Amino acid sequence: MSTVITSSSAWLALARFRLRLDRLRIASWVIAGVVLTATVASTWDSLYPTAQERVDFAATLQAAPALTALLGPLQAPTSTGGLTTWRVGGLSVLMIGIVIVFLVIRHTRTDMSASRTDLILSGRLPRRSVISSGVVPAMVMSIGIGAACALALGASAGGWISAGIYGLSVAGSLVLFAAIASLIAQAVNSSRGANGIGVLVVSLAFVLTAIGNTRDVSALAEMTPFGWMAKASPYAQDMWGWAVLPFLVAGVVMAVSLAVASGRDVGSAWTTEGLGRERAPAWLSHPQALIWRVDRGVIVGWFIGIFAMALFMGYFSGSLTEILAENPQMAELIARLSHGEPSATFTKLILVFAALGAAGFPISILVRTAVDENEGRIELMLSTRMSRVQLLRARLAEVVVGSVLLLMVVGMGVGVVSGFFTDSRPSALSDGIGLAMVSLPAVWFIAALTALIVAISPRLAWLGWLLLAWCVVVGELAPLMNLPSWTERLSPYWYSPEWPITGDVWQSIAMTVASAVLMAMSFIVFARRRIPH
Amino acid sequence: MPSVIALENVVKNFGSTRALDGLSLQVAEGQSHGLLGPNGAGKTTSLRILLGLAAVDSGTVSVLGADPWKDTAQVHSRLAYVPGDVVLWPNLSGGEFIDAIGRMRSGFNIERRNDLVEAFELQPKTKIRAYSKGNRQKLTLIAALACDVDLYLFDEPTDGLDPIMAEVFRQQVHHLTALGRSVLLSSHVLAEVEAVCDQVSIIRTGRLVESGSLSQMRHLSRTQLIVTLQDMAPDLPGMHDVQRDGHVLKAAVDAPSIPDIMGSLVSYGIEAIEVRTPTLEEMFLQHYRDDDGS
Repeated sequence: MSTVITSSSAWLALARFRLRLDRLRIASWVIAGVVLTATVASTWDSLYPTAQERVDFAATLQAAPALTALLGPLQAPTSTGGLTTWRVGGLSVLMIGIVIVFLVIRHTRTDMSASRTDLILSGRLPRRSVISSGVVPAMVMSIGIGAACALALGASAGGWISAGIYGLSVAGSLVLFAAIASLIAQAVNSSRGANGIGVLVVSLAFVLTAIGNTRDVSALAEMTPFGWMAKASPYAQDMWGWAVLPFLVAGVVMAVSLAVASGRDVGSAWTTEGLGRERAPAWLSHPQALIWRVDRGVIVGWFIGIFAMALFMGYFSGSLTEILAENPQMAELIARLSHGEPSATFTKLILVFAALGAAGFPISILVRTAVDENEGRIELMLSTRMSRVQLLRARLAEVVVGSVLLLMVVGMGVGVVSGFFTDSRPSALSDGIGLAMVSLPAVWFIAALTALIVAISPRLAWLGWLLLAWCVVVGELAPLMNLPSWTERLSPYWYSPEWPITGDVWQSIAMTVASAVLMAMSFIVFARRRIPH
Repeated sequence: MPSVIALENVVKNFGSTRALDGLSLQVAEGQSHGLLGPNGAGKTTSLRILLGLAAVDSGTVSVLGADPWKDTAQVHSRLAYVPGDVVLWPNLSGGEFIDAIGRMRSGFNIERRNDLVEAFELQPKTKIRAYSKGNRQKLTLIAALACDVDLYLFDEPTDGLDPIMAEVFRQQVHHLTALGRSVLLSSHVLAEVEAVCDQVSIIRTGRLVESGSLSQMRHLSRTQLIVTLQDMAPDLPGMHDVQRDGHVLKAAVDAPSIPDIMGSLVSYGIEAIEVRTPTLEEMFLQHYRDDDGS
């Protein structure tokens, strides 16, 4: 019996260690969940103060099937809780679900690739403990977010039982994604590949639900955790069963996952590593080529992901734009979400958001230089004839050119699809591209700041992501959170011109010049410091 | 002979930590030079300074006649470097990696590359992710050895290699020195340095402790003498750490005193004699002990 006790205490120690590694990450997401739920709940009283206004609002939704597809059916329009869960439920589970997948992969497949699991399993623990302990941070975060959302909702909107059901739904969906991710981690032999497939699974579940909602194919919607969240129907029918269902399914998936982990070689995968080239192709012979070769997987991934997102967004934008013209209330809601400009179209709202997402591209590429430095590759590259300037320039070239192409793809995706739905607007394509491209100087500016950060020290690379998070908060959430209006001016996106461009564009020119200056500074800093820092 | 590497009184601080504390190091052209020292002695920092990746706080650095911090491109076009600790790109094949890095150096020779792949028994199509530690080490070695340059810098080059592959590496270094190329090899593995280097510099806590040819260093150090005598001899000048056990006398003997001591011992009737030249290991330990004492 003593062995059992020792082994379980070893497992506890390992689980606690994993939690400790991610305690800040988990805490910040839980806090974000509270803030988002409470803020959105607080907006309804000013937006639709009376029950009649809320019923009218629900009626206008009937005319906007695309919004129903995206957010699910609005089942309890008169209650603040019902409106809030409808507005943020699916979207936050989509977003946090992806974070949960990354968290699971980070503690499972990444450990296997780095042979850390071999170290762990050389102790008393059974093979399955790689998986059983690897999901702990994600499970704790899922339940923490569910509880936080329930508390925030109950406190701001009342209806504690409904809030509890909502919290259970959120937690259950996230727990299920964590369980699925633990299977993916065992199936795919690289962390990046596993992350990609995980994102695909979560997004696919969301898209299937959206299709099910629009086409009224409820069977399709009922197959996914997003559909189950709607079925749980908090503040309307309060169906406990649908809130508990994802936990049951997660239990089954987890059991399979642990059985797989027990029965197979540690670190093995269903995908087998194919053989590569015996010789490098002839073009792979100068710094830019090498950097492109090692970055291209990430770059191609960004383009595919952004293009898929643009098509999806274009669909909603296309079907909503028409409705908004005839529907002042809906227009008001959209306007409130888009910098308070009543003239704003849904397409614009969507493209500002997509342009924010697009800034993740230059950041993700530029921080690779910091990773190269941390892992010793930069020394190897710089010991050749490749100079520091060439190395940084190669990454900046990818980023500067890539941002242009990425925004084009975003604009084209949204434009073409929304144009297809509203063939009354032949300018949809050019409008889409134009609306996306006005954000280019802002994306460049974020890229240039990140380049400077990475040039100063690899240890500061996380500031690049913080920069993007800041832009999202002040740009997208400031109007919702009633932040002072000057905070919005602290985002480069605030200075993007309107489309079609009517006034002068000196702000865009200034921002482009500032980006060039920052990039020049990053070269100077990078050339002068010690490497590795 | 001109120096390919010359460090003079180099000081390098990392914050409050002093990594190099007035280090001087000379490597002559055509030399195969071993840089020996325990972990944390400053070997890798020295190599980074030689590559122009880090600037010195004081002192002078010259590599192939130039300042690597200022004339980095010029210096790098004439050397090849094997880092000690590096995570390679997991999704490149081994062959792709060797070619890409090799082509960015001077004098990358494809026949030599293929010969090396064969000599090191490497499967070049395998993705780096799937290589073992030793096989990854072969990749950085081949990417350097396949280039015809004037200076080769190796940081712990046989780390992870099995003894057979370590021997292949030694042959390759002999091949380079036979061609008149210069080599600086940092290691804490004494046997490795002994096998391939004709000159050795021992560093510790960022300072040069000793430098010279192996024969010089053996000359400077004490020889272990174990002699069985008919009549026990007294302590003679040049003997240290004398132990007596019956008829057996053990002593560490200063190399210059050996002829006199042997001459004197003859009159005590030598029955058996054993003389051991110190291994590098013993010299190494001796230096550290002496250093601790001072």
